Amino acid sequence: MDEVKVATTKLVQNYVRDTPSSLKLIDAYMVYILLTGIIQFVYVVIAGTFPNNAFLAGFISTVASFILAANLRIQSNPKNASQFKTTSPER
Amino acid sequence: MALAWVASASSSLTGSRALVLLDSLDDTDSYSSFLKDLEDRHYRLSIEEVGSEIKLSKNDERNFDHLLLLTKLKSYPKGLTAKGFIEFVADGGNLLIAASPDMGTPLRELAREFDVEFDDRQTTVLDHFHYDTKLGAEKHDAIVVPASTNVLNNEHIIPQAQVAGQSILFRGIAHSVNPTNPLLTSVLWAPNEAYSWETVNLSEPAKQGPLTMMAGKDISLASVMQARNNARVAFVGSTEMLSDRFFDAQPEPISVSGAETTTTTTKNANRAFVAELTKWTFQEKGVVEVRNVHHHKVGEDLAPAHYRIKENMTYTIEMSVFHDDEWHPLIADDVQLELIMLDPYIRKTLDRIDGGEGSTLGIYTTTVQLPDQYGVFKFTVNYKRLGLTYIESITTVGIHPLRHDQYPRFISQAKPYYTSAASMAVGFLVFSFIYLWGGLDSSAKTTKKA
Amino acid sequence: MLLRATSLAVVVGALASAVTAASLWPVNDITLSILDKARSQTKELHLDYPTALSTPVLAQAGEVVKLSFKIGEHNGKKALPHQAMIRFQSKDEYADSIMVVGSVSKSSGRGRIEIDLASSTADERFKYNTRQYNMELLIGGYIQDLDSFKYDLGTIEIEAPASNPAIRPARVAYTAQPEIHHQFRPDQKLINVVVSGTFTALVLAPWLILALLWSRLNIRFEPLRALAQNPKDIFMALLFMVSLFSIETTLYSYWVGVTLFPTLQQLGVWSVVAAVSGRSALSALQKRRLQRTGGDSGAKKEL
Repeated sequence: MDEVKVATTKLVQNYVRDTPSSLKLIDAYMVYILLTGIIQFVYVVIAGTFPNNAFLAGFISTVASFILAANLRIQSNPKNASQFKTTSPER
Repeated sequence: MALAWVASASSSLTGSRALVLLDSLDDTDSYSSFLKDLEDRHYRLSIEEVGSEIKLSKNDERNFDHLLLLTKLKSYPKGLTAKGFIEFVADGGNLLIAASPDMGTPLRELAREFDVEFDDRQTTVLDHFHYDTKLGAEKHDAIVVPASTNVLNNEHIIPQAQVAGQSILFRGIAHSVNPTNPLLTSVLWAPNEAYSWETVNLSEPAKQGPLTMMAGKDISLASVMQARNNARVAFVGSTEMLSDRFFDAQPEPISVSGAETTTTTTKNANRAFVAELTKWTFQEKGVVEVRNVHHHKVGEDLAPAHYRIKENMTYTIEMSVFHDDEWHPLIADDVQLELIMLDPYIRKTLDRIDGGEGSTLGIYTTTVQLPDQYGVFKFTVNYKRLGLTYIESITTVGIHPLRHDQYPRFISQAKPYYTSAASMAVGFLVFSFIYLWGGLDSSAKTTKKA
Repeated sequence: MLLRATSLAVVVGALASAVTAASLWPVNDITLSILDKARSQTKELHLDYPTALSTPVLAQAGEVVKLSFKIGEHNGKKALPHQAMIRFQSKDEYADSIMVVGSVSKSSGRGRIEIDLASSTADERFKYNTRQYNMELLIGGYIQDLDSFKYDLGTIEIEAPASNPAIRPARVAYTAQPEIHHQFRPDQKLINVVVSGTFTALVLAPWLILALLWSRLNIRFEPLRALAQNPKDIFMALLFMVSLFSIETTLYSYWVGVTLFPTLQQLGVWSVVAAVSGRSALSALQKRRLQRTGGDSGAKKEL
């Protein structure tokens, strides 16, 4: 138990220290999206799927935003620069 | 029915050409009153013997509008068979068949085509409790039928006013109509004590044979049929009922009550009964026509190209009925509208609106909410009643489902979804603003060994 | 004097009756009996014209109803009738009238009318239903001076067979049909407003988390200040954000009611604006970054 605790603390510390702040921006944004999606999912379990289309709209908009944000993070992560040689940083 | 507007001076909507078939031209005298009554109603009578050559149609068009068979029809006329008569009716011609105890087999077969069964050869309707003391004393075969109780009470065929309190003299053969056939109806039937039997060996008691005997009100003396194309056929079991002798006779039936048998006198209704029967059969009355059908959305005037589910629609139909040489508004309280797509989804009784002074239209209308099933619907008014022509008015209309923007917005249950989508959108804007111009450092930090 | 008067009265009386003639048909010994399946008599009732039965007679499904009578003489000969029948009139709403023919022996004058309810020759209408009938005996014929004889016998209840009863053929008639009201699909039952309200609030809760996390970051809007010097850049930046916002509003208006084609037009316009202004804004950023880091433009820069 203790070991897990030590490992997580270390993980968090490393994260806070090493990640560039722009990526942290994206990460926070992604957390926000994730939470929104989860809450909606809980709601649909409680309230049923009427109206279907509205649920799909709400939920999928979170999923889509999440995916786009994830892509941006991947692209802008300096550690991945080798994969994105041809795109300028502004993309 | 368009023939009504083609010049035909007769009161009949089908036309004025009538063919009368007799066994021999000498019989014309015995029916003189009956034939004169027809001529007074502007019919052009052609009187032929049954043996002569008759052509009922030429080039697919009828030569006559009405056909009266006052003959025994022991054999078909030249060039005609039962099929020819049937085709005549199928073409819209009206038919009157008068039978007698010595009717021929072809006439029996012809009646059978219409689901009417005449009794066996040489049988007569006998009634020991209602015979006429002057005409039927010998064989008790001329019977006096009280019109108030034994005539069908239908204003369109025989109005009670014409025959109430009077009697009808009858001497002839019994027939029965198939009770399960909705096109057939008996209009005059025998009294309860009557029965149908052969008139030979009358001194011997009647003994039950293997075949069932017709008796009482199961014996139909006159009946009518309206075919699905609205052509009408009448069957009368007595040719003598139409004769001058029976028109003019004063009925004096015996009347049995307890141990007392007396002779009474009643008024003769033969002429009036036959007149009303022929008026109905030859389409001078009881003919209904649909004049107009409107449908539109509530609040509008013109019929739309299509409707949407659950919309409110107003339907109006206007009908006229012909009698006494004129069109009158149809007055009824049971006209119904059906919305049918394979099965009726809605059936509603229409309300009648007064058409105003001098209007010939019976206006029936209602407002209905269309079902929430979409598809191609038929707005149908199916009005079939005894004594009136069959009306079936069908209007085909499409009902569309809701367009995408006709659904309700802002359902309260879905508020979380709306807010989530909105917050995603807003979040995206805010995020991009900050990301682009927030001055965040994106360079890699130096990694320290963990 | 009195004798002459009475004899005169008798003569007159006789003449009078001769003129009014017609006497009732001589029918005697009228007996109604019910026989069981083995044809042994279970009931016998003697009837006296014109008295009817005081209580209804019951005939069960397999039994035989029999009426016997004797025809008397008239003018020295047997008064054989032509019609010797019973008319049954059912007492329900159908008022069926069923006539049953009997037979009269020419030699003895004995008459008999029988209905064997078990046999198939009995009228089918007796088998529709157990119900009561009114019976009338009808005797009539062609003998002069004899009046037709109608005798109301009373009520009989006839039981229909329990197995294989006959079914009355349905008469089809054209009448008004019952109304049909359409059952609309009920509106969807919505969840309690409170619950949906709570969840709406919950959905917005992550904003708090986002704000919290972002505040930990060092967000200073430096590029904006730098851009402020160049009005074109500011304009482009603003335009970009506005165009993004307009795209979103267009989508909203499509949802609320505008049809497809105007929406597409709008979207097209704003997309172009967004693309152009975005590019311009991004290149401004790029310029600034290059200035900052002092490196060469283009790729290969770690970001």
